[in-house]
Amino acid sequence: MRPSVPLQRPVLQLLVVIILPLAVTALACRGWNIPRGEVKRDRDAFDPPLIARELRQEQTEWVLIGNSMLGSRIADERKLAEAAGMRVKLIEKGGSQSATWFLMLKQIVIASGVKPRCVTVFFRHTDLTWADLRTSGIQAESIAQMDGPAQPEWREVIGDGGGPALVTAVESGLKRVFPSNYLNFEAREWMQTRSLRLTRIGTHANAGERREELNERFSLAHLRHDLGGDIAMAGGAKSDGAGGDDNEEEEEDASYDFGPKTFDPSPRASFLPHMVKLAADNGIKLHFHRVKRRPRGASLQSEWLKRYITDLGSWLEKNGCAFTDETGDSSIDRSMYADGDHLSTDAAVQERYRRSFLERVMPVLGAAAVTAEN
Amino acid sequence: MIFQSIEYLIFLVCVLALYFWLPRRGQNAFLVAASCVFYGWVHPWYLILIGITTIFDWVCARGMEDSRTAARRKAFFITSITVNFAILGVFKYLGFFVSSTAAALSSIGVMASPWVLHIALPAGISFFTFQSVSYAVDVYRGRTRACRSLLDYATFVTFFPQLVAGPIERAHHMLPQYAQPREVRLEGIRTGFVLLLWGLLQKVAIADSAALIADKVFALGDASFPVLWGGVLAFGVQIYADFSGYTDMARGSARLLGIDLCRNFDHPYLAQSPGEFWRRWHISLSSWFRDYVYIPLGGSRRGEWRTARNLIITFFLSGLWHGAAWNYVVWGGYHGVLVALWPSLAARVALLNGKGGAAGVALRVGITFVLMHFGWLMFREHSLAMLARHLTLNPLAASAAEWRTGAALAAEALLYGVPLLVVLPLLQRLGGLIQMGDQRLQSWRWTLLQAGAATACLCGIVSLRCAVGSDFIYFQF
Repeated sequence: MRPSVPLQRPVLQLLVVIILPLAVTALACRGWNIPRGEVKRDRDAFDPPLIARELRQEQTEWVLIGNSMLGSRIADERKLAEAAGMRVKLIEKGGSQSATWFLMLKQIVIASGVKPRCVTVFFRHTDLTWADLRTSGIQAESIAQMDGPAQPEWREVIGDGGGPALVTAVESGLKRVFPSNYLNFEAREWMQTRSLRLTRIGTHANAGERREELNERFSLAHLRHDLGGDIAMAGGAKSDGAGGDDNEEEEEDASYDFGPKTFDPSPRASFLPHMVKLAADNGIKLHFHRVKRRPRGASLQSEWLKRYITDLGSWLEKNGCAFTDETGDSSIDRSMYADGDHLSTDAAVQERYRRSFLERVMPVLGAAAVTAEN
Repeated sequence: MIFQSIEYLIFLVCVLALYFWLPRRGQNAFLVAASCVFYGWVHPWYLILIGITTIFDWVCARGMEDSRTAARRKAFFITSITVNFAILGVFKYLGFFVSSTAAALSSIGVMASPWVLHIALPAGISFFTFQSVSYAVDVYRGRTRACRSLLDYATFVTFFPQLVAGPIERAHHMLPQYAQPREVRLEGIRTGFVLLLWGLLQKVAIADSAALIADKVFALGDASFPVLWGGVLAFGVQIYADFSGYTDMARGSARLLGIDLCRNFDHPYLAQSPGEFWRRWHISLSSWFRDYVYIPLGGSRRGEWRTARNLIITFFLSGLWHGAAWNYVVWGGYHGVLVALWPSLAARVALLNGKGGAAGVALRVGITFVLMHFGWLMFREHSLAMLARHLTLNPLAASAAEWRTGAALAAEALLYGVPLLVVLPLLQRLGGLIQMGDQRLQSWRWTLLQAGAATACLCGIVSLRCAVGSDFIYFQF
């Protein structure tokens, strides 16, 4: 310490450099961390109490849960209801994954008090047992709406934050002091929108249309064949792809490299056993439907994935659930797909899909009806 | 353990809480123990390797200094160097050379079944090996006294802020610091805090965001000219922010502990020639190659051709240091040729030779920027076949939509890079913001400037952080 400088001054200066920025940032987070734009629309569009109320009012008999794989395959629930001859409700949220599906079952379907004959969960690849996939970012909103982290099953599968207690405590403390999920989303959106506006070369397209153009440019069809996969899963864009031979099965997907490679039925590994138990405890027939991904033709379905699906199917059946798989169905051909693994919403395509889907699941629904009557 | 994790935050706070209460030897022992925790956090077996090399180099250095004959001294030196490079060779290059040889044999019809070792590459092996080699060479040449204390030497090798990705320090800079007791210096804590935040902003907001763009482009099988170069530009932002961010977090952490690490970057994208770029980029590695490879080869003392040859060899080895893959070799060779050719080009073109005023500066900075990014294309593209494809792309064949896409990618990367590429160089005049020992730091004006910088960094971190984190690029080296 230099003798000419009073002791209090360096200490004060240190406090100013450390405390002031922390305080200003914390206040800024509180002031600006407000849901706007897409976050707000997404939040407003997904209203769990309203869906539960509708289930009660309509006394729904068949509930279908899933993400855009479901939404693009069953674009009109009324038509499915007419064809199936029962009251149908879709609980669909784009981008949602197994953690959200578990909460939809627990916090909406079961919490509504309605006892549908069957609940069908649409899934793709190994999504069903990839517990922490899409539990953050924009999906964290719907999870929070359904009080996800407070559920005991959530704590068992995801943990309080995934690390030792001290790390978790510090992390949640930081999140409380610097709440910034909306602010972060908005700021990053602003950066992308700004860059799109700055580069309007020979087009009058708005930022939304430009974003679509970008997503299309990075869709699966354009990726190196040795990479494949939905890089959007990591990157936050909304991409998928096209191309290939209709007769080939699903190829290896690099975006699933971080997901499970073997089927693990333990209740700590995924939400699946909890869904099965919840349904059994509440007398609901649970049905899992694996969707066919866009035929790409580069390679056959890998050995580990085949083994995973076989193990999953046997386990589900052993636990009283139904399992259907449209992956090998050659009637679902590439012409029916719009972008990526999404089906076209064209009426003819929807009609074709509905027919083949009902053919496949009617035995399940029939058995579910018998169970429900008993 | 990585710097941008909660674990590291807790670790650093715990280290700081105890460190300053200890006497000098206790501080060093504690730093070694903390460094072991840091380095062995995920793979404790890494500690065996670094432990062996540390003890071995310490013994050899003492042997060199205590030797009465030149032959004995040389024997210790060669043993030390051989062991260091043998370890590096086995862990980093053996698999590459075996598989490359097998591929070469198969191309001439000789089918060899390669015995390829799949050995996990210990993090930071190239960094601590080079640091140890520089110590051995300096002791052998008599530039540095051999460290008598194993504890001090272990602190020098294992010091956790710079262990995994540098800067590659020299013994004469670090050992005197470990020989003194470190006391709480509030000024050091202030500058260390600002540096840490600045480094964190570079990593989690700038580098990781640019990485998303670059990764997307380099995943394309049909990238057009503008899209590819949008991705290359994004990679240029990513690698600078990533490595510079790591270095600043390392320097910030060290400064909190009362240790000063060398500066590793000096606005490299403002360089006016390839040679200047290398004096501003990864300075500790460039100066290592200059001192231990280029100058011993003869440097620039024996005519133009020998100078060019020495430069190409040096950069070829530098490329190989970065990774055991052909693209790094090509990249190193490219820079060697560039640095070797530049002086003759500059002698013929006045604008490349410091002339032309501000416009000349802008032109030289622009040309160097483009040349360096051409190098980044080779660095980032791991497939030589794809690299060859990229080099044949015709800009005129790209549609307006492709130009829009490429421009949008470049614009987004540059928007994220604004603090790094524009704001920081402008703030260079405010060097005292993060420079230790600057008298101006004692004034309130500078204190408030530091507080403002810290606030800007924190706000940037919370608002622009990327949800998808990527590893530090230089960890793999």
